[in-house]
Amino acid sequence: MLKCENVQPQLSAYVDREMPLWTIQLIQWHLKRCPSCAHEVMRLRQTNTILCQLDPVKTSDNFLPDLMRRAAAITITEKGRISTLRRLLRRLESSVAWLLYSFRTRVRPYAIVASLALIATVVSLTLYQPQLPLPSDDALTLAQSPSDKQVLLVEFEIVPIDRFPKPHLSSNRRTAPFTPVDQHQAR
Amino acid sequence: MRTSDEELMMKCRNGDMGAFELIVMRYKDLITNFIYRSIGDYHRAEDLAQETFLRVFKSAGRYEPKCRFKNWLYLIATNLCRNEIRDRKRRNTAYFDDLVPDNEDISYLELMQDVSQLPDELYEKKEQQIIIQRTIDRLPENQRLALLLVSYQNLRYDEIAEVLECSVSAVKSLIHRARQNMKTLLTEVGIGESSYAKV
Repeated sequence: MLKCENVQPQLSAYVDREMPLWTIQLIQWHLKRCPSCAHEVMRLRQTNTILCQLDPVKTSDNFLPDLMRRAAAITITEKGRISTLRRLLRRLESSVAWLLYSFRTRVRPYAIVASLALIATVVSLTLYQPQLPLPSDDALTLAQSPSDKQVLLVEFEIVPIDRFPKPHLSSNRRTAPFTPVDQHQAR
Repeated sequence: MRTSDEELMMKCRNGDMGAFELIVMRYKDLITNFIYRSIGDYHRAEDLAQETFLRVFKSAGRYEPKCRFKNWLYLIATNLCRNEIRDRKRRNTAYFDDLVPDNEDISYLELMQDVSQLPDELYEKKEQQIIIQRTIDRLPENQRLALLLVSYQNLRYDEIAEVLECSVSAVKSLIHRARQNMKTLLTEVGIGESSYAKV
């Protein structure tokens, strides 16, 4: 459980909601159980309310015209002082800065998203192995040419069961697998 | 679509006075308010607000949108406020006390616009505002600036850290201490006692 001495320095940030959500919830949980800290929060909020009683002031009507006049005077002085070449260089520099800024703020997010999409596509295409449906027997029959059938028939051989070696249980030698030939022989 | 401040500044770099005017229109009241609450003098606050925008205009050629324009603007205004506060301290003048009549005029004119309020209530409100302003003026420089930025300008702690050129934890501590001091000072002058008692 949080202690009051740890919570109280955080209360101002809590009032301003300037902390992670989980910390806010922890403090809320503490406030439900601690009346003195809850009272402190109320007092901080009251102070905020009092501070907000100050009415905002507005600038006078001649603020903007005065300022623009002064800014224009600066521009004229600058223009007189700076050579045309330097002015062109400055304009070029600002255009480059603008392009960099545009890239950072507008193009870069799109470029990142497009790169991620491209990487995801390449990875998924590499990992994806299409599992085609197994062809049916009829399809196999149709696919095979008559000459293949003939070859298969020629190679088919009936072997008597006596000719199979008996398994050697004592040795490590493996027994021959049960082949379709055995099935046929058994019949 | 609203053009961003950074885009306007880039236009301003190319000598676009219209863009500069738009920036001024957006921020003149905010900056004047901030400076006014920091130094307590409306006329000087207007001068310093103009100076802030002129500095922005002069630095437009070197401006690069690395950080938010708003933070940069507040940074300039904050530095001007600091200089002003230190100058006044050095000259050791009773600055804020002298300026109360000016503030009274402005506050009174503004308050008179609200016809629904009675003169007594207006007077009380005006008095209370002056007391609150004086209480703010009694806060240490950094605490005052941090409190004004969070309470009146609604800046986030990380933005304030950028403006005051310190860490976020330092800002958190500054604001906490400022609120504690404000609470004590306001109780001393008798504002907020009744509301605290109700809690």
